[in-house]
Amino acid sequence: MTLIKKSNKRGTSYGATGLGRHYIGAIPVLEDPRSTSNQIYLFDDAHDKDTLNPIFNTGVSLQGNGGISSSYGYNYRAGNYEGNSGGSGYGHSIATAGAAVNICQNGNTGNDVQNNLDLTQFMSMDPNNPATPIKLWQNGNGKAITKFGGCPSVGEIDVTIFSNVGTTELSQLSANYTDYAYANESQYFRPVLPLHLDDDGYITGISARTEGSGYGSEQWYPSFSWFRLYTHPDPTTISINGTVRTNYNMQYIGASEISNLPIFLYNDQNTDYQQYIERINTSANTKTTLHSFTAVPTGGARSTASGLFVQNKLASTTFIDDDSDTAFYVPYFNTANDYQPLYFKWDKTTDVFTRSECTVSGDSSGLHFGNLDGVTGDRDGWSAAILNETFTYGSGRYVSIIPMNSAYQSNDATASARTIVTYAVDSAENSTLTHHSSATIPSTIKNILFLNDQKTSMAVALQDAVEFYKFTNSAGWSKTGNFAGEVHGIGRTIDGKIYMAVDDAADDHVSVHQISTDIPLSISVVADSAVYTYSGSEISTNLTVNALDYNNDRIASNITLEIDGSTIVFADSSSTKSITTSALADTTVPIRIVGAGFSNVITKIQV
Amino acid sequence: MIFTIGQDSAEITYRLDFSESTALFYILLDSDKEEAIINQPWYPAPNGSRLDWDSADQAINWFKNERE
Repeated sequence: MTLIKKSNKRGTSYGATGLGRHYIGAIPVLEDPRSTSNQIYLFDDAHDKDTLNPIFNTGVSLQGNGGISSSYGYNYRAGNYEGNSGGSGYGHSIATAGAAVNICQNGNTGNDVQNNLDLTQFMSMDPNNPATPIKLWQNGNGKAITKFGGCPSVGEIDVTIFSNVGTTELSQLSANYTDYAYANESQYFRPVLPLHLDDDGYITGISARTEGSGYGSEQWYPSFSWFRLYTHPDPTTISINGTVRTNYNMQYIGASEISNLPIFLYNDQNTDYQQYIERINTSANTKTTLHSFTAVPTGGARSTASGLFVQNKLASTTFIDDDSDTAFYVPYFNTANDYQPLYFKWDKTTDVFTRSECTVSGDSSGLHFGNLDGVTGDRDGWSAAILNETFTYGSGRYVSIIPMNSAYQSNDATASARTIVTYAVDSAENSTLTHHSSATIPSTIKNILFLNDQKTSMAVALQDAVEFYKFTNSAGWSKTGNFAGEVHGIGRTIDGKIYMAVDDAADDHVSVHQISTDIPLSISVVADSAVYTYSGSEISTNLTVNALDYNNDRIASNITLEIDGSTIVFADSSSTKSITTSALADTTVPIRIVGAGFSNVITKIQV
Repeated sequence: MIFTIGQDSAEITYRLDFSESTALFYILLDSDKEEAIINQPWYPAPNGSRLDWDSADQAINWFKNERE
């Protein structure tokens, strides 16, 4: 963990245009998503992406006029008002192009808008087209970059589009900016996230229903719709009609290989078993319902009294299954509150989907998982979710269910409400699952971010802490490290660097930190024996030293060891030694015990 | 075929073009303008299958149920 930069944008207001933009609206991290650019913007100031050296007098403006946005992601928080936090209430404080998540760290409970989860990373089920807060779109020779305010949260949704970007740096471009909602029949929506670019240059995305404007009057509950955005040559948003489904969560499945039109999944938040699949013809402004799946599965229709009610159930990413078909899992819990996912197949030659029921053996999920705190009203409609994600480890496929709730301490008191349950997938029949393992997290899971493409490494965001977990076949999900701090955003760049926005200043401005497999998260120093008996003669022995990353894997790192005390010295009689640890094996450091009593070994990382 | 959903000020008028067994729904906007919103070549049955439309009335009933 390395502190990269403290906020130099001190202040507690939005700021002004031009030079006055150095206020809370400067985004802690904004990554240029193009491979042709090597710039990353820290608090709006340009830096070299590799060296992080500042590029002086160069910055980005998402409003195109030197101004700052009011909802892209702040670098300051004020008490429990999450909207003024490190970005978790509004847009992404870490806007990276690999993946990113906002984390609510407020003290609010109950039906509060500021408790809504950031579902951005889960809104695309297409592993080849992930949902990210900043994204590059290419249509022929035309390229555009979009930055959206954020997933369902507080306040207005800001949209910035850099059109026809070519290879010009964002700092040299003037952005097109809008801040709006649109009317759909008699309802109001706000675009949340762009997800698909069609052959005519229309961007299609997911929007969310709200009512009224301003913090006090907004309602945010699952009432998803889609929006369209005409990208080239000038960005224009277009109102659409006939698209809303209330109390359904919405995810982008992928693009039709027949027509390159986007296909979306609607999943009922309450029953889990009612799904709709719709294909959107964005340029024609029409949709077609490909399928309605509303029949009750053999597991029955669950009681509304269940702790699994009013949870946003998130389908897995798509994968190629044992029949070489494209498939995905949709979480459904039966009347016994046990996980019995629905198995979907997508015939890409016809855009025909089929649904069947998975067979589950071994421990039922209810033995480990349940009694979740759910959504409490119409203002925190995204505060609770069950993620159902599949991944591979070695030659095996697995699916894990992860309960998430961003309200303050909501699931702290109930272990089953913060337990991740994993099932192993039968390699010959991917709809057959067997219980594999369970991992109970110490407090409410406020959100997660997968740290690698394989999804076997994960940051679990808690209140005022982040824990790191990795998956192995032998141990399931196991903790590998932790960071104690108020983390408001975590993001992964396209080249795998991980940034965090941490409220670590007395005045509640956030700082940018970085973790990577090159930077130790911890140093392990272990003596050959736990206890030595000194009887007047020197004892020669060894320390075993390892530098460990967030995956608990050894890494090569330059370490300074200092002995605090007079009872031990290094072999050359010194009390300070610089070493380089190995990524492959333990590093042994000889020492001599020269007296009775305690001495400490202090470790320092040389950066 | 013109039909409405809702009442009083919340009433919205739609038009169904039911030709060649495809249901094409329009929303009627102000100033005699209309906008296509749904192109539905088949009836999406509750079990996930796709069936041919029986009639225009079936299509309108399906559309109304979608908006309940």
